[in-house]
Amino acid sequence: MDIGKEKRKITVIPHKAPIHAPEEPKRPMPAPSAPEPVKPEPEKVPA
Amino acid sequence: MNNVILGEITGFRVWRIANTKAGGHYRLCSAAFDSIWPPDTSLQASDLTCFAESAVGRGPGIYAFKETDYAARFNFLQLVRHTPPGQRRLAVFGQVNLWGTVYEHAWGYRAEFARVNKLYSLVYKSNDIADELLFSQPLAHKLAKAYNVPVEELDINEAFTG
Repeated sequence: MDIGKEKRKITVIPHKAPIHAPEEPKRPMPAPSAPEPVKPEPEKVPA
Repeated sequence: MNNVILGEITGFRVWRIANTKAGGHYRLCSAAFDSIWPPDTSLQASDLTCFAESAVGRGPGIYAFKETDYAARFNFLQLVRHTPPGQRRLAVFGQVNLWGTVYEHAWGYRAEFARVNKLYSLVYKSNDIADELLFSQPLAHKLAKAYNVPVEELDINEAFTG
């Protein structure tokens, strides 16, 4: 097929090209929760 | 110079109509090669046998013309050339989208990727070229359905006579 003399090279990027979703940013690991303070048992007062 | 374009380039071409043995479906087939265009996906140049043309300096790729009249003059003649004498060959005219690496030439393009965009139901006068090809309007509609593309009526008389 004769389409004439070559003029230029083009890179054509289609609109409908699959766009890769950006990688979800890694969430910072939640800091380990501090253990609840142990409530000291009330001292038994002798009656 | 390498230009970058966002979108697609539109071109025009003519296909032979192939009647596949499996299922008896009508399919679009390259005018010069026995390459069937897939109905549900794009065509990639590496799938074609047209790399043989690189030997004569024309280069590989999926070919399409910039204007309907160029497609009419050159593509129709090419199809007629590949038609056995005394036979009429079923043909369809259409529009394609091209993308990837595309080489622009004076009258057309050769592209890395292509997909059928639209088929035409042709209206034309009888003449030497058209008499050897058969542009069946019902088949154009059937193919448009198979390839899930619209079909439009196109008067191509001026392309032949211009």
